[in-house]
Amino acid sequence: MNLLEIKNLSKDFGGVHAVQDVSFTIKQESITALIGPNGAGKTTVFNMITGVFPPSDGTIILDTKKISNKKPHQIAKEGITRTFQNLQLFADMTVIENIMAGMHLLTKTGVWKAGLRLTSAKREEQYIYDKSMEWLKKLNLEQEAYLPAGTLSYGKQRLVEIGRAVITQPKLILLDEPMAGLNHNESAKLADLLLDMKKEGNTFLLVEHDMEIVMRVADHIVVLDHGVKIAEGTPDEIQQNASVIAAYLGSEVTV
Amino acid sequence: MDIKKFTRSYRFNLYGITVLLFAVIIFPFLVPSNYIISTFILIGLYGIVCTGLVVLMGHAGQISLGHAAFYGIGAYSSAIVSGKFDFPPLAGVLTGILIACIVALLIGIPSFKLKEHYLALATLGFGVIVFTFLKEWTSLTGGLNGFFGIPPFEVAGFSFTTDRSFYFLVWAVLAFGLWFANNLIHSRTGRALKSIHGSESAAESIGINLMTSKLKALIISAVFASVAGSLYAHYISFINPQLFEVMTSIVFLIMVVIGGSSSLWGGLAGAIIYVWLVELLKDWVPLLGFSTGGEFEIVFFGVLLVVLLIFKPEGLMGSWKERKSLFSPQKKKVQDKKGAAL
Amino acid sequence: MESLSQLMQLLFSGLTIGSIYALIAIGFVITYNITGVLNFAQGEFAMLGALLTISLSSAGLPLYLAVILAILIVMLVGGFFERAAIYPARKSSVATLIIITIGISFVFRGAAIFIWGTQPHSLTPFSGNSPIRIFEAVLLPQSLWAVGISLAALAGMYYFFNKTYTGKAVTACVMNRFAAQLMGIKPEKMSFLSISLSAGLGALAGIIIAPISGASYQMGLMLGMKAFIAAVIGGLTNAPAAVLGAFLIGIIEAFSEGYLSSGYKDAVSFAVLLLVLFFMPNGLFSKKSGKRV
Ligand SMILES: Nc1ncnc2c1ncn2[C@@H]1O[C@H](COP(=O)(O)OP(=O)(O)OP(=O)(O)O)[C@@H](O)[C@H]1O
Ligand SMILES: [Mg+2]
Repeated sequence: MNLLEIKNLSKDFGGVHAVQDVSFTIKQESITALIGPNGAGKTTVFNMITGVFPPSDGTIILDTKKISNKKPHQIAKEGITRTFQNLQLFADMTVIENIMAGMHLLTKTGVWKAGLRLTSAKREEQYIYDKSMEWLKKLNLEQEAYLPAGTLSYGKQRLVEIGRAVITQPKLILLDEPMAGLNHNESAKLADLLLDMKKEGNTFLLVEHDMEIVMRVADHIVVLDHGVKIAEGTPDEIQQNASVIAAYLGSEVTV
Repeated sequence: MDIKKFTRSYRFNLYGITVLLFAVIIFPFLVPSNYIISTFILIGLYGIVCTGLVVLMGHAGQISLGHAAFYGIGAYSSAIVSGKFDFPPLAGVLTGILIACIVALLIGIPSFKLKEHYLALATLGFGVIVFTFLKEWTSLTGGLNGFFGIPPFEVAGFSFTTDRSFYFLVWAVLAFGLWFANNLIHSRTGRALKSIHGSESAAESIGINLMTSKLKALIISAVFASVAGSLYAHYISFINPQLFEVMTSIVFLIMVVIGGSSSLWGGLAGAIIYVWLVELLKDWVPLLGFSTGGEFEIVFFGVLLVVLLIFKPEGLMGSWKERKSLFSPQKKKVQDKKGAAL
Repeated sequence: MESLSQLMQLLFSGLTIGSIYALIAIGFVITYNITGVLNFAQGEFAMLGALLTISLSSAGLPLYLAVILAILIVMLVGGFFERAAIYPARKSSVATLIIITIGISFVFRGAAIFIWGTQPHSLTPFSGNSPIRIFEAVLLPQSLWAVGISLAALAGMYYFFNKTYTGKAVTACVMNRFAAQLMGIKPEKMSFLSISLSAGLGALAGIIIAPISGASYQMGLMLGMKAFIAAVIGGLTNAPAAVLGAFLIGIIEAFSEGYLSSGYKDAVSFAVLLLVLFFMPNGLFSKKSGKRV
């Protein structure tokens, strides 16, 4: 079943056509990779899906519901969360607080209940904590739970960001270059984690430059170049696609 | 691992508030000087305002240059409702809270749509406008001549007429404010505020509504300021618009910066230091041969502010918190991790 | 016609004060665009300029020398302020930088109290005090000086930024920091230059207003705020728009003083600020522009 449907999506920045008439769909319980050389428009697609800015044209449909033109926090509520190309952690908060913040949508204690610390607030806080600890264990971050997130190694910071995005078990998780800055070993582990999570029912849209990883984890690949979709298919199909090879050779990205 | 460890700083603050309450009760018996009690009333009032500002600045990361206006709204609401229309003082306090909330919404909604420093500008403008109204609407406020004859605070038939009883009232309210703020910052709402401070785009991506969260922080800080203003009016029984000038807003800001906006205790610490320094300066400046009255303060605090922000931007309580963490078990963890990596 | 002459009178006084605001507002815009700092101490440069000129000229210097010397000293002070307070904190948050400039303004005001005391001082007008009558309105020669000098200074600024090498470098820095760096322009140097230039403009503003409304240690606060409003009305990034904003604020103030009451003057200006902030955050004169995330 299609979870997300992107139809004729375009985005102009002044004169720059960052994304032009891009369409593709994402299947439930799959990993779709969005690849392309630098400046191809991948992050721009992410920003449109998550409502950071509205598309200049086109529609985005999640589960038959049109979500284009919604605000970022509303998109999150609809069930799409993300990580960022340039890490956006809450650096001064501890690791566990970062993850707990991710629980925002699953909980509802407001100012009054929290401020007066009513029993329901305490109960909910315990629930948030337990659930977050569970995820920290899963991500192998227990040891770092009480460290400020900003002090972790780059690889672990990436993990925290992913944990924050997945804890609510959203319908779709967007990962913008999660392997960037990780060493070979760390990337391989993260790839395993993604595959595990897919088996548990999660759906991912992944932007990644590390082709080895992409070919390993992706079920479906969409290739962008200069804002235009130039190819789409399974990893095997993409590896043999002439225009994809040309696009990559034309740029200086190491494949 | 259970939640005990996570709530350590929360519980630490609770102990702090308990100790504070004991100290507050014992203090007047140890130091029976009326002068000192009256400075502590002032510290308590400023502490209430600044604790609200800590939530706004330290947690939501928003800066206000108009909190004296909220303080003034509280003071004049109480003055007018209980002094002019003879309603019970509590009605005045509630009126102040209500007006402060409405005004915070009116200022906040448009400002938060804009970039970060615009709240500073909007609150500054709002401060000047409120001041002008207090000054010019003489039939209601008494204008520059001031508002006389505000009755003492009264609740359930008990009237707070002596300095000592008022001192207990103010510090009880402050302790409640600290408790409320402590609960809040260690909750879902508090985390949402801190998240915004950390990264707005990340906060939005996990479903936090920036507008409503920032509004909550602004409204909470406005209510704290308004309540303090109401109490202040009942305490001194005479108020005039100059007490709520833009300069007063900046003084509140100074206190929070000195104390450190990232700590629950920063507001109170800043208030204590500010009030004492002002008292000290009053005594010392004439000895140095200057006869500049209260004006010396502004240079002193100007220099203090600049030096602090450049060299110790986290404020006094901030650095103290840092030192505390040196002794916490977390330190060991870091070494473990390094050891494991080798 | 009584009302017409009053109208003209108010218009002239609005233009006079507007020209003062314009000079300070330009300083705001320059500083904000190059350093990213909203400098709340901007008005204090006007105060320093005015009081320094008064001291220097009463020490026997001819007026023109006193003016030049005062401006140079204030420019130095501005540069020093940039090195001592803005530069070390340049990586801090917007909020921190705002508070630092507030702190600095306290320091300037305090220094002024020590040097000049709290009582107001006056400066003799540049050329006599005999009023001129134009269009039924009475005009003091100093008003003409004020408007004339401001316009000349603004023209000078225009020339500087668009025609000279250094000026173009500063402009480049505003447009694109990175590209400017590639061209060998150091943003740090530009930050220093822009603040001392703004300081000089502020000083000039203070000097020309001093014969009209006197000078005291606290004159900087309100001058700075009004210029600030002007700059925001102009959109904060556009110098000519800030100048228009300054004249607009000057005129609005003169009229609300004349027709309403002088007590409301400040509130009206700030109400205009709030209206602009809320309804036209890019400034009164801006075309609609896309938001960049
Ligand atoms: N907010 C913006 N304003 C103006 N132009 C933008 C904006 N965001 C992106 N662009 C432009 O759109 C184009 C596509 O950028 P985008 O960041 O989507 O590329 P990308 O595929 O994510 O590249 P990379 O692999 O380097 O991350 C680029 O030319 C970029 O300069
Ligand atoms: Mg990208």
